[in-house]
Amino acid sequence: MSQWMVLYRKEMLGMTRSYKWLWIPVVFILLGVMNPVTTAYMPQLLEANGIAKEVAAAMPVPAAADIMLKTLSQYNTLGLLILALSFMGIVSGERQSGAAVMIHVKPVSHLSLATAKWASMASLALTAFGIGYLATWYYTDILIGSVPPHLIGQSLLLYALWLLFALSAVLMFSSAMDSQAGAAFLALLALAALSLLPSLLGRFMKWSPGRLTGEAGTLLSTGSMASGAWLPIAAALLLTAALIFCSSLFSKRKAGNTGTK
Amino acid sequence: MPDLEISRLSKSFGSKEAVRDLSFTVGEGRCAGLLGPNGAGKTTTLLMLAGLLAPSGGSISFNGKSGGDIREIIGYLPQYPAYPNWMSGREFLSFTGRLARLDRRDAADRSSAILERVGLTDAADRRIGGYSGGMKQRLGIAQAIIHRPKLLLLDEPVSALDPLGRREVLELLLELKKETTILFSTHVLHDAEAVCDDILIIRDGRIALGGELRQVMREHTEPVLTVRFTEPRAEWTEALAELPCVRHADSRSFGVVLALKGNPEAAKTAVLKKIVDRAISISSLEFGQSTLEDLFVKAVRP
Amino acid sequence: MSDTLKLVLPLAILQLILVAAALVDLSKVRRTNGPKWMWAILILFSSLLGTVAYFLFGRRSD
Repeated sequence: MSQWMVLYRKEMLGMTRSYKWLWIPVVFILLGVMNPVTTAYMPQLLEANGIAKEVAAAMPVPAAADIMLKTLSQYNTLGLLILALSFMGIVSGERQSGAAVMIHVKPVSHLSLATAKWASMASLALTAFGIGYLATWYYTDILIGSVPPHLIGQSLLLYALWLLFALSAVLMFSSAMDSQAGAAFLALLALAALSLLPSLLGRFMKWSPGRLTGEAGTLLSTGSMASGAWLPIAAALLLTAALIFCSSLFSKRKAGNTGTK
Repeated sequence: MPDLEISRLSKSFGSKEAVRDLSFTVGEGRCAGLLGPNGAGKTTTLLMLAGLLAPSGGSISFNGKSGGDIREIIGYLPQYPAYPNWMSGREFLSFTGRLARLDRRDAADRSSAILERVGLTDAADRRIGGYSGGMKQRLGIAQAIIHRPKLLLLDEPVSALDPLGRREVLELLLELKKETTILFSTHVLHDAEAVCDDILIIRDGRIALGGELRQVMREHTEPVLTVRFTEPRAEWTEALAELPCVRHADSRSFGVVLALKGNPEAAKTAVLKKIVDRAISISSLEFGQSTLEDLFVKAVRP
Repeated sequence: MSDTLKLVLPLAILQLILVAAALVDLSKVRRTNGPKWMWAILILFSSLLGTVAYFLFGRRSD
C-alpha cells in the first residue's frame, strides 16, 4: 500500500508541476459558470448590441434545471475533450521517453501502476468537475432560480461515475497505443459512440454508461430517476474496473519497449 | 557456486532470433563483461535478466531460485536512461528507493549518500531536465544501486560518455564490484579489460567465447610480431605471410602483423631470416602478445 | 451594478490567474512546441482558449 501511495503521489506531483491542478479546475469553473451568467445577462447584452427591448424581453428565460443540464452537456463535450487531451500520454508518454523502464525495473506490479495513474486522473477530474458544477449551481441560484440540493448531489454522482469510466477509457487507450493523439481520438470516439448509440439502438444499448449523462439530465428536469438507471450504473462500474485491468495488461506487454528502439 | 545462472536462454522477435541458446554463469561477487558487436543480443539479454522482456525459452536462476520476481534484488541501468524531467535528482532517487520497498527514512538517507557517491550532490535539487548526459548516466547508476541490489545489470554504462565521464564511471564500477555482482555490456574492450573478472563474448545471440578474463587471455592470446616497413610493399607482406611459422598475417597500412605458431623463438628467427634474405626494408620490429581486441575480432568474425 | 460586479469579478480574477500562470510558465521553460512569442500573443489576446491551448499543446510533456 505504501508503494501504491508513492506511485500515486508521484503522479499528483507531476500534475501539479505541469499546472494541471491549476488550469483544469479553473477551466471547469469558467465553462460551467458562463452558462448562468450569459443567460442572466442576455437581455442586457442584446440591448447593448442594438436589439429592441421588446424582442429581448420576449426571449424565454430557461428554468434553473435547464442551466445545470446545459452545463453537464458542455462538460460532456469540451470537458471530456480537455481531459482526454490532458491525459492522452499518461502511459504512452512515459513509455516513449523511456522513463517507464525506470519504474518497471523496480518490483512494481503493473496493476498498481495502472490503478495509481487512474486514481490520480480521477482525483483531478472529479475535483475539477465537482468545483465547477457546484460553482455553476451557486451562480444559477443567485441569477436564475433554485435547484434542490439533493438533485444536484445525485446528478453530480451520476455524472462523476460517467467521468470515472471515461478516464479509464483514456488510460486504456494510452496504454495500448503509442500515438498520443490516436489514443485521445479513439477514446473520444468510443465515448461519443456510447453516448449517441442508445438513442439510435435503444433496445440494445440500455446498458451503455453513456446514458448516465442523460439520466442525470432526467433527474434534474423531472426530479426523479428513471427506473432503468441501475443498468448503466452497474455497467459503468464494471467496465471501469475492466478497462483499468486491460490497461495494466497492455503496459505489461509493452514493458520491454525501451522507447529508443 | 554460481550466483546467476543462465541456461539455454532464447528470444525471438517474429522470425528474427535475437538470442539463441545462450548459457553462462556469473559467480557471486564477480564482475562480468558482456561483449559483442552491435546487434549481437546484449541489450536483449539484459532486458530479459531485468525482467522487462519475457524470454521465448530457457531459464534464468539467481541463487538457485528460478522464476518469480527478482526485481527486488537487482539493479538495472538501461542503455539510454530517461527520467521524468520535472523531478529533481533527489526526488527521483528517493522515489525509486521507495518503489524498491525502502521506507521513507531509509530512502532519503540512501539518496543523499548515493548522490554524494556519484558526485551529484550539488545538482541534487535541480530538475533532471537540466542535467548533462554524464550526469544522467550517473543518476542512472545511482537509481540502480539505491536498494543495495545483489546483482547489478548495466547496459553500456560508459559508451555514451566523454573520456572524463568514462573514467569516473569506471572508477565507480571498480568500487561497486566489491559490494555486488556486476554484469555489464560494452563494446569498448578497453573498459572491459579495466574492470572485469570474467568476460563473455557473444555473437549472433550466442556465446562465442567466455570465461575468466586472465585465463581466456592466457589460452587464446598468441605471440605476434609487428613488422613496420619503410614503404608499403605488397610483395613483402606476401613473402612473410608464406612462412610456415606464420599462422595468420594481417596487412596494415604501416606493414604487417604476423600471428606466429609453434616455438616463438624459432618463428622469430625464421621471420628475421626472411627479412634479411629478401632485403625487406623495415623501420621497426616489435614482438608481443595479441590483445583482447584481437581476440574479440577473432571471436566475432564470421 | 455592484451586485453584478460581485458576481463577475471572481470570474475575471480566475481568468487572470490562468493567464498569469501560463505567462510565468512560458517565461521559465526552456523550450515550447512552436515559438515562444506566438504563445505569448495567443495567451494574452485570445484569453481562455489560447491559455488552454498553451497548457495542452505548448508545454513539452517533460
